[in-house]
Amino acid sequence: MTKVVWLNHIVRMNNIRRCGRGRALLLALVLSAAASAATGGVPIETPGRVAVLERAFAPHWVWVADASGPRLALVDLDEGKLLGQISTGWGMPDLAIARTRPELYVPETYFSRGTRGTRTDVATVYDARSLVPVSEVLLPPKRAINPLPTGNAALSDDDRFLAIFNMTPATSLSIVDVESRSLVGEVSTPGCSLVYPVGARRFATLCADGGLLVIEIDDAGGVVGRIRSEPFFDPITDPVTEKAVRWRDRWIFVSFEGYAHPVDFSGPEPRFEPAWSLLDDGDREQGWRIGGAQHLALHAASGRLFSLVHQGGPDTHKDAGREVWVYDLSARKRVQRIALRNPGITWMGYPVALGSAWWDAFLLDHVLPTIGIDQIAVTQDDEPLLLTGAVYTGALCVYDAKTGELLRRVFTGNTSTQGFVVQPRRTRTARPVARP
Amino acid sequence: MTFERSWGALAIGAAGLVVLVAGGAILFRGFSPDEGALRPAANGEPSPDTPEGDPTGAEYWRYCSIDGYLASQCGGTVSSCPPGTLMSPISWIGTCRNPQDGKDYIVSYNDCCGKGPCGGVFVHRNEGDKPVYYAQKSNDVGWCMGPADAVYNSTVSVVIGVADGPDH
Repeated sequence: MTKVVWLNHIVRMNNIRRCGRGRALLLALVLSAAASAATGGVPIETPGRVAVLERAFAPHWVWVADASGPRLALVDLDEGKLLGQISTGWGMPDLAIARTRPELYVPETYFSRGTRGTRTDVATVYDARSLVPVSEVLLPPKRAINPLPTGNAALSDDDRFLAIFNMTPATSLSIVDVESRSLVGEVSTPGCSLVYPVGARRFATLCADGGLLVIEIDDAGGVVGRIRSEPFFDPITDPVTEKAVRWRDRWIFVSFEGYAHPVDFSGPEPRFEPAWSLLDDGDREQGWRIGGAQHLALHAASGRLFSLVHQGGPDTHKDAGREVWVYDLSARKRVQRIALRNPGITWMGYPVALGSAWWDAFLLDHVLPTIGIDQIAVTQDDEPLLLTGAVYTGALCVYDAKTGELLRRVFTGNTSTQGFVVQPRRTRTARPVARP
Repeated sequence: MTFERSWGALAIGAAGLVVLVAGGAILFRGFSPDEGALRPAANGEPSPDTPEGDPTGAEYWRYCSIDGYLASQCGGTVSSCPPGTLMSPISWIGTCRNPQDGKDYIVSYNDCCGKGPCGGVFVHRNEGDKPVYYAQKSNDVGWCMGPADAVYNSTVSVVIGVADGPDH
């Protein structure tokens, strides 16, 4: 037993019981400091400390969903490391990030007997620095369970109301006032599904006839308006995917056949802009198609649309992609192609933490097969990063979104990747948080 | 002969025996009159010796729009859920062509619920799949809801009719 450990042992076995916790701790610190000074060894530490993130948000921090956890992992794309995680209950992890408060909102589902029993749905509020659940709002136990990385929950543009998509299979939205931490209502959306934020008091849903249902609420969360649009796509011959991306007041939906359908929500009613093709005749002849579990990303400031593509036939709208094609949205023109690399591997159900050594890169690029990429996302800062993930690995690839250069691979600890949630661009300065 | 050498000779001998037995088996199969013959189809199904007729594989004809663990590999069958689970009464449907008779059949993909994900063979095919807002033909909807509101385990593929309409 070393001198330092012996001193600690004396403190624990004798002094704590006699002196009380505070005095014992003080004595331990004094003895430890003395021991450390005397030996020049490692300073003695006190058990019980839990890390807190240095700040609530950073542009290059991204949340990565893994339904096999189920959990959300917070990853620093610059440092290439895992920062923390949130366990999310049954189903696909989902998350809404406040722009004006250091808070995260996570819809969660639990069964009283693990896989069965009484179902409880909650919207849990997490502190963005400690990742501690600080509050929860009880929801109607019917939120939709599906593998979609987007469209199941939406935070209003002023961070006041959280709308959560329900399906029993009757469809509706639960409306939560996240400021008062209360459920304020449930809005039926017959024939329409999912939810997309389109303003401070409006949410849009996609309908089975190819149209939209826009729900407008008041400051109390009550419904004050419903607008049901004409169809803007054909859900039978060429449906749009659910994985739309937002560009300012527009949402851009992309169809199975690769047509972008921009919808402008700046006016009182949605305005449908002309659809345009992401693929030209040559692309189609070569069999290129859009596809993937999260096949679209958008950098709002530059107006760049990123589309995951592969070569395949009909019904491959969820197949993994091989390249990302980048479009200038204003010009409606492709400006870049980025060939994608293998993010990593999961072996026998365990994620393998490969390093940055040249042989790791050689293994991933030249030895192991590249099965394809299922998800993409882009950070919203002025030095945007493109990140790619795949269901067969929890690791990610991080690219410079402007040049397409691979910067690094990131180990997330996830077994699988099912979706990304990037930090929204800050609209106001976040309220400062006192450090503990 | 030393101890090591005797073990070495034994190993070489054993390896030689394995080669002989394997070679004999290959030769015997090569002359078998049953080589290449398929087991007969049952109840209008393709032969289970073909990929389209093998319910344990991803190419089985009924799985044309499935997205989930195969109940047949989790203790159930193609059309029955594993023991102790609940079958969701509502489901999504696909239209699959049976190569045996060339007909299109309506297949109901009911989820089996109440036990954790099976973890066996996961098959993801998307023929005719539609997005979640077109729920009855979407294989992304989790159908463990209503009376079977519990955790997802696996999926069955039940033939519920012959497709004869233009919308199928």
